[in-house]
Amino acid sequence: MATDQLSLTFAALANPTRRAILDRLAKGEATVAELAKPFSVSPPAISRHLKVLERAGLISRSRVAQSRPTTLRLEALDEADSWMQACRTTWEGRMDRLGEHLDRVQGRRR
Amino acid sequence: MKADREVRITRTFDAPRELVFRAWLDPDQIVAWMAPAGLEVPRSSVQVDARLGGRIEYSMVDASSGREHLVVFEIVELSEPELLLFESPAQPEFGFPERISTRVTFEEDGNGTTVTITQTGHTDETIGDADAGWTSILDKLESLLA
Repeated sequence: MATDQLSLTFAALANPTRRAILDRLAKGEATVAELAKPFSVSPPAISRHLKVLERAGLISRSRVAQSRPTTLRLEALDEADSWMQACRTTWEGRMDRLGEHLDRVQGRRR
Repeated sequence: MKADREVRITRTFDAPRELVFRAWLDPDQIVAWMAPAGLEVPRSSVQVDARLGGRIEYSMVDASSGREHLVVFEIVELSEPELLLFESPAQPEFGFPERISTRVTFEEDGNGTTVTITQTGHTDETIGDADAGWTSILDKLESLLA
């Protein structure tokens, strides 16, 4: 897993406007104008947020159409999710060993 | 938006609470369990300053590859024998892109002890913002997409 990519993903997710944009895109692709509508933010500001999201790999933008509709990329979210899963696995592994250790110090065998 | 799904692990041990709690702060015991199977903790790598504002530091070494992973838990809250709260700095070089809070509670459960570990990540941009758990956005998107 590319750590740098993951850092970008989490940093991109840390902003409420960008999270709201992703929520909107989860319902389907949208143009910048459509994305700007619900926010009291100018289209150029939305474009800046889209750049951050694009760099994080969270969205992709059409190079073809003039309006450059934006779509959500689920792969980046999967990566963030699998990082969380790795944290869980580490703790489960520690707890297994803690159980064995506590049995040992109490003179029990497993 | 609240962080409604952090990484959370609960385990009940057949051991008194005081004993379970001490296993977290005693260097000789940390060596025995604080790395998952396949990784070892060299005794020489363990440093514990078991007080508020202190820290636990150790390395997890992968015997087969020799790769070493430094683990740092800064002690933010310590209430023996029921609570430990750690903060870990971001370590991009070890695959941890952001600061992590780890809350560990110890509850008496009959003759045993239930340990609950709750781990929440946050980027620097969001520290101090209760609304900032990165897990919540993943959840929310997952539910939208389901």
